[in-house]
Amino acid sequence: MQYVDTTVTELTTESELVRNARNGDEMAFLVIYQRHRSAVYQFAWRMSRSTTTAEDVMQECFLALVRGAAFDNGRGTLRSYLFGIARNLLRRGLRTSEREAEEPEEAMASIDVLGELLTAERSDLVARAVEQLPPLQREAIVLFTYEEMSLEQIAGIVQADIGAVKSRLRRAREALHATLAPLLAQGSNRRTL
Amino acid sequence: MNEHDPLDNLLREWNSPEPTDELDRRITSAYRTTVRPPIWRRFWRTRISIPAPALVSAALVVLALFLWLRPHFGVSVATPSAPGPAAVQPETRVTLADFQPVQQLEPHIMKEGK
Repeated sequence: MQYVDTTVTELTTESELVRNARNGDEMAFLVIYQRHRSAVYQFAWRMSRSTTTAEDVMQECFLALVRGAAFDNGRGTLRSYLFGIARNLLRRGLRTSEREAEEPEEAMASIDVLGELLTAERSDLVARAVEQLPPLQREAIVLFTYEEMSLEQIAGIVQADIGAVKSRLRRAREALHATLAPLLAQGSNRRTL
Repeated sequence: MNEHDPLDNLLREWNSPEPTDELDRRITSAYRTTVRPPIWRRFWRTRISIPAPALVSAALVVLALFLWLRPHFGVSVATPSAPGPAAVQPETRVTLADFQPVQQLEPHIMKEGK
């Protein structure tokens, strides 16, 4: 990764950086890229659980930024804007009628947590539990838990109202509690030992 | 949201990888291909960095050359030339034949204050 003196460019607004990057200023592009590369990649990876998909989404996301619609600072942060692009790209790739369903109960039954406890890593079980969530709930839990975004930011990215985001988060957490109950119990037992 | 839900700690056990250097290179290369400014713009925006001692040395060389060459130019300019026909200032003479009637009259009306 090429070193970029971000202290020099901290005073430059993100709108200016995007405009300069579109005009061929590679340094401006690299500043944007360095600031957001990890977050965008990790979001794409957690949503797809595929390195190839995450890499493709990330490339398309940053190229869409320099050749797509104008970014307006007044309508949200650049991070939210990039996540919005990534989300659209992911949805285009992941869209199936089954996965669009909001209700996760049937999918949850396919994970046998108890049976896999001895062989699988805890993190892998968590990953699989999140993966089993419907896409709308999954993106809500990923953005809230891993990207530490506020409900307002998530609502802006997923183009839904805050009530809908809250509802998705609540259902996602209920489903994860149910699926990961053995691990949660194991964790609490560990602490009491 | 529940502040101390153990689910949060459990969820954070799932770490995701970082993008690779190979991906960084790929995206930078794709950017260059996508947004390539015209050559004339690149020329005007080209920047070079030069160490200050080298810049001062170059400036001193230019100054020395200027001072060294100045007397040579000065001789040819400062040589007094003998008064001759070329030195005579041309005289401007106007006769009545120079005054001719106007062929096409185009009056322009100017408004007051213009």
